[in-house]
Amino acid sequence: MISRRRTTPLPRLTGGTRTNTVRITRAGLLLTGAVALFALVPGDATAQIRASERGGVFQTVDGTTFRIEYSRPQARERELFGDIVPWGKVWTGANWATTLELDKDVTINGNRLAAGKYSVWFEVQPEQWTAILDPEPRLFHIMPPAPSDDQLRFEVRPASGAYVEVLTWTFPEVTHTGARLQLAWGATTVGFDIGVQPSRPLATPPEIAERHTGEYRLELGPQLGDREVSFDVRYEDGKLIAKWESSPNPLLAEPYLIHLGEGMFVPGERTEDGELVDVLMELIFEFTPLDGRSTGFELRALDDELWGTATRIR
Amino acid sequence: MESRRGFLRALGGAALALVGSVVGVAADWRDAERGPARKATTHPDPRPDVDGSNVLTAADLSGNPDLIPLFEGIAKIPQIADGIGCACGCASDPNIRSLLTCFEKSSRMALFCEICQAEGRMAVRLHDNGRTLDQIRAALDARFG
Repeated sequence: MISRRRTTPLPRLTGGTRTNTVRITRAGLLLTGAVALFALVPGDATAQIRASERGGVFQTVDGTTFRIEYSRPQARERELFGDIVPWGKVWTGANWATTLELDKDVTINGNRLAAGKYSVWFEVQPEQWTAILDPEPRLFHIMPPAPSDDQLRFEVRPASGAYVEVLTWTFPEVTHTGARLQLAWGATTVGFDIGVQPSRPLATPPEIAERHTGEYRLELGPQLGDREVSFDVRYEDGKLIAKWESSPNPLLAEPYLIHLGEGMFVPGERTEDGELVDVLMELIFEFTPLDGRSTGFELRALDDELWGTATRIR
Repeated sequence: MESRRGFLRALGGAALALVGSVVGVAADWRDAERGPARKATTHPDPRPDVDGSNVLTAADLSGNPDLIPLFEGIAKIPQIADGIGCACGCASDPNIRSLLTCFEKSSRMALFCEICQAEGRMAVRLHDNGRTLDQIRAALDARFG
């Protein structure tokens, strides 16, 4: 005869947790084990039929991954915010709290947040909500966290959007420095901006930049047309920018040169107005030093194959 | 090769043949021009008695003749390759001690992994240009770290 106490979250909408005393016989234990094996399902392993199925989405930006997991209640023609989610309520969605997992430190709406897994809550109000990221990820929706110094709290403003039946988190905007994470349910949207620490900043320190600025003649190998072109490097607003005559593609006509270290740079494709489109890690400019100043560079492909050789002319 | 897509395709499909360095230099950026702070690969100390005898040979590479010069190059610099931690992710495998292991018969990793191959080519090239192990490590960290 085994006697044990356990704490079990109650099913959705019935409130609170409870402590039960359970008496289990050996036969009962075997039966319980068999049932438990049979009932193994992904996600929340409860016998409840889920009105709000579990879902999730992730996004990687420059090596930092954000992953949000949440239950997805349906609107079902109900009034949502201000009604089934009353004003002033601290709300996360349905069932187990929505979680946001970050594998590196980020900023959220400009606030620093350490890598980790957080539960995501909103204190909903008619005009302005308070977003709450709590360091305890495993919380049931009826057990919002008490305010604490460990939480990140910031204001967000809900907006009207296209009607969405099933509560949905998305990343509708992704840039090279971050993404917008947005919740939509019914006709309401709300979100926040996640910023990452660039692994390779666009800016180059001036003492490094001055070694490489100048004019070069670039002899391209057969991979790029077997010809000689001009390649000029200038320093502008803290960034190194090249002007590549007859560049392999239009976005490389005036690429950023992004510093890797050890005299190596990769091109950042940019638009005419300076927007960074992509960083081509597959193409390396490897500058040749002489007395602290580059005398030229080699252009190499991903597999280290030589695609071009440049010599400084000025 | 005018379109961006065509150019990117060419980058991805670059020939594997090793082309010798045109600008051979032993100098580096003497004041330790470091890139943005990132997590560098952990590099092992090369074993004093290590040699290249376990590196795959031309006979082992009959199905991949393009790779023979690279493997032969690695076999000639075991003291360098054994002091380089591979950045492709294979280093988490306890059986892979160094970049040298990637080229050995015990793992055969570099037969298939383009990162191992690229690291190996760069290491051979920089060694041929007179770079020290520390300089080669720093360059590999900047390129692949």
